Amino acid sequence: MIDQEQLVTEHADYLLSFAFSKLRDEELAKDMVQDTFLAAIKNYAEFEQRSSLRTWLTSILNRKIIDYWRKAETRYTSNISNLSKTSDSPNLEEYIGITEDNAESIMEKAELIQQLNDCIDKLPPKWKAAISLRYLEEKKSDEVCKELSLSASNLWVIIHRAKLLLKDCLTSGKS
Amino acid sequence: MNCRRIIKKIEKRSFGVNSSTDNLAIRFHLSYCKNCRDYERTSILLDKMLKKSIPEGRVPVYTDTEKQTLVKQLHINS
Repeated sequence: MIDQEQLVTEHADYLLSFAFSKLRDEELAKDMVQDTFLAAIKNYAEFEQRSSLRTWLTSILNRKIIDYWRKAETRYTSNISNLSKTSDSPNLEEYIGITEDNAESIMEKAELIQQLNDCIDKLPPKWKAAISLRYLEEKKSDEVCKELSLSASNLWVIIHRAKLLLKDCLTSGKS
Repeated sequence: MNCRRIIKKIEKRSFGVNSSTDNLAIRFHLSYCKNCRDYERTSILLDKMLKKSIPEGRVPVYTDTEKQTLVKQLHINS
């Protein structure tokens, strides 16, 4: 029998941080951690102790996050066809005062970083996951496709649309 | 090749998985298509911004009260 109090005391914060880094949503991350503990308690007899308890818990949590992403809505509810008209919207470089040559200077613009992160948080879950896996975890395209159950072609479309939404969000100032 | 296919190839290129033929097709298309040139510039800039700006950021932790509640919920639901 697993000690539930010890489970929470020793692993809850670590698991929450792991889930949050992938989901960027605290409430959802907490739900996932709770589900993970419940699954662990239910299936503790199957834990063969070949890895540490934390590794086992993390693998359960990771599977739950992947399941969530796979079931998540891929489509964006607004009129996506408008997003292909990039030439009508303001130029991102001019708007934020950063070009691809001096993109490093973004680190000095805390407000812009915050705005970009707010914009990322507004993306549909699967798009947000694709961006996180690609840029935060630096995963390769086949790994991202596998985790999100996407074809490569769908992944390119999602990244493209996510970027257009991010550009829209950044240039509209409505983060 | 139409804009839609070129844009996919531009994104594919950012993952470093394009063939040299794909890259040639992009270069040829961009030589006459302003929309896709604009998109490419935005895409590359966002690539750089995203790589630099996604922080490890705020890491949430449970308060003691939340942990006690969590333990209680586990007792009830397990």
